[in-house]
Amino acid sequence: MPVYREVNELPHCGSCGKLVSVGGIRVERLGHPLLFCSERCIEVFDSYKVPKYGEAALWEESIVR
Amino acid sequence: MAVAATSTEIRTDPFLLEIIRNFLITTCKEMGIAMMRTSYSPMFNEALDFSCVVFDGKGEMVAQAPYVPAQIGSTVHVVPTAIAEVGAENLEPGDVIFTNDPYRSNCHLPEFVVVKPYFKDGRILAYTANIAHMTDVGGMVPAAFGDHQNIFQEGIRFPPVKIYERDEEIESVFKILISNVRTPKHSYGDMKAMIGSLYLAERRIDELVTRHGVETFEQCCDDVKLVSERLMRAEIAAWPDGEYEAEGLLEDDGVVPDRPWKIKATLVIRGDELIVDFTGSDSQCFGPANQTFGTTASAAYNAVLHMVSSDIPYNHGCYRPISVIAPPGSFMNVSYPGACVGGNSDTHPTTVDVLLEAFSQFSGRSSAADGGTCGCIGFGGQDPETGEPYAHLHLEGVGWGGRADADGNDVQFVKNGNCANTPVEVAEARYPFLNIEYQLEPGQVGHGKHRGGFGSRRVFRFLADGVHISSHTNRHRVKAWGLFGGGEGTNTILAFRRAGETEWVRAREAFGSASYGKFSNIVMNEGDEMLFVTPSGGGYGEPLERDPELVLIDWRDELLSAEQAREHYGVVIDEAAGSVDAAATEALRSERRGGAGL
Ligand SMILES: [Zn+2]
Repeated sequence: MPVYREVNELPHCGSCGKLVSVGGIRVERLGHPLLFCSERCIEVFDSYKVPKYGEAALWEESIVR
Repeated sequence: MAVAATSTEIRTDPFLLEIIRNFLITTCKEMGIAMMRTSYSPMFNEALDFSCVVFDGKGEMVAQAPYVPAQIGSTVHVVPTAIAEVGAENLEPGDVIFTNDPYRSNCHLPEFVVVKPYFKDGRILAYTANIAHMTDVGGMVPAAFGDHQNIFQEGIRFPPVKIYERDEEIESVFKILISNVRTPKHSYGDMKAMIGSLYLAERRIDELVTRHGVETFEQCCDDVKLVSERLMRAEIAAWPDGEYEAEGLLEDDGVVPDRPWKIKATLVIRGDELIVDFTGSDSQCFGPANQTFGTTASAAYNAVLHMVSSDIPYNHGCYRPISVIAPPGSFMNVSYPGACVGGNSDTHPTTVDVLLEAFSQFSGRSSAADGGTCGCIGFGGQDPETGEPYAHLHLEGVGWGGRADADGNDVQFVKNGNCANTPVEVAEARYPFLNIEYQLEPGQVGHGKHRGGFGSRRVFRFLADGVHISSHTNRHRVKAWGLFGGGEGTNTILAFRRAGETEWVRAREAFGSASYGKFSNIVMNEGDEMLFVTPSGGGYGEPLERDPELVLIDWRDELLSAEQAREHYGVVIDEAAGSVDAAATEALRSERRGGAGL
């Protein structure tokens, strides 16, 4: 049986914050490998979150470990 | 978050599309009726605290019935998550997945989600699903609502797993479920009602596919979503581009006394797309008032759907142009192992009202804030006649906020729920209490051109010893706010008195709880009583602009006195004649407008 990973070990989408328990899209942003739940969330991150919040757009919970 | 985009043309004949769309909606309604008639608990068969949906083979919602908005919005995320975690490739005909995990985009622990794949010619063509509120989920209080500080106190949690395999119950899973709740018979019966409705829906979809063919069905699924997406985009495009902010407070978390928690929302309108950004909201609280991601997304959809035409078919397409941002670890997106059972009941309506306030900056469809609580009070103990444990969740209506064209509704369940209360006769027949008073609570509301709706007043008298009462209720301190000059609503009152006493005492004073509305396991005995007054809604517009005839109607209905009519609305009522004194009213209002005002 595969090891069960509790939700605190799983990443959250870098834009919306949703827990991404399987799948997701990994991209480099702000010097880190981040996980996103959809192409649309990457677009919102690039066009809204980063221009508005700068470095603060980055959430620890979204960095792929 | 936004759901995957598409851009194809609508290919299905519009008449056929409408027929199939309505067939799918009717199927969802039929699922609900089946659940209502076959379930065990009043939460299902009286309160109708469930929602039924159909997803297509891509894992996108194509139809829903209008049951509980809070649940429907979360299914957009939790159903695909559940399918992905189990793996569509691991599903076979007759399998059913279930989960109640709030961290996986579910609303809170008591909501159980069941999903069944519908196979045709060896592949999955659709999923039937529903989400329903189980009264008891184990944990530290009967019926789930209290002042928990973590998920383990809230109850048992299931990540997405199969509960049926090839039409057979997975016995071990059922055993784990029903051995961890206070009401095993109800939980088993309710779970079977949920799963039974999936089979019913599957039969209906099979009839549809058999009649019209696989290709037409799949094209229809794509097209109904596309129609909704286009209609939603047209609505958003009509709004002025820009950023619109609003803030509101949830009064406390049940753990830290008198510490309110901030909800901050920014609506970002960019052409035909909308971002609902909750950045700037407080960090997650210590009690159960946190929202999950699913609850927050649901609240965003809920507010948006209040702002657009009700003709838009509700499905995946509506949600495509809407992106939500909910920072992990915040009040709007609780992280493990934070508690969250009350986020779905009491924070959700406040979140919707914060968003409606932001919308009011450019839209006339908005409304003042409502009573902001589901009135969740749990009762539990041992039945004095049968000796069996019971758990009952009481829900109550509140006053809604006034709006541009009407007064707020009276004693209606908050916007996230759509639920009914349990009739007095049903509750009294099943549980050891009487309702010795139940009425509209007249007096103060949020005054306005369109006033807020009234709350209710109910007194319970207990018929047995050892009735454990737990609560997650709101608006004991922070009132519903008004809009455009409308006044605030009134507070909730939840108070107790021991048998033979005359004074009502609230939980903080009587039992030392941190909160007036959020506490666990206080014990009522035979003859003790509990008073529950629900809050009224905020007013919309200046009270001096209220039609005097409407003030007169309220006076005739004994909802306000002639003195209050004069004081709050500048309306002079000739009590002997039973009519408005028009000249005196005009003079008084003109004096008020020219003078210090109200
Ligand atoms: Zn996302």
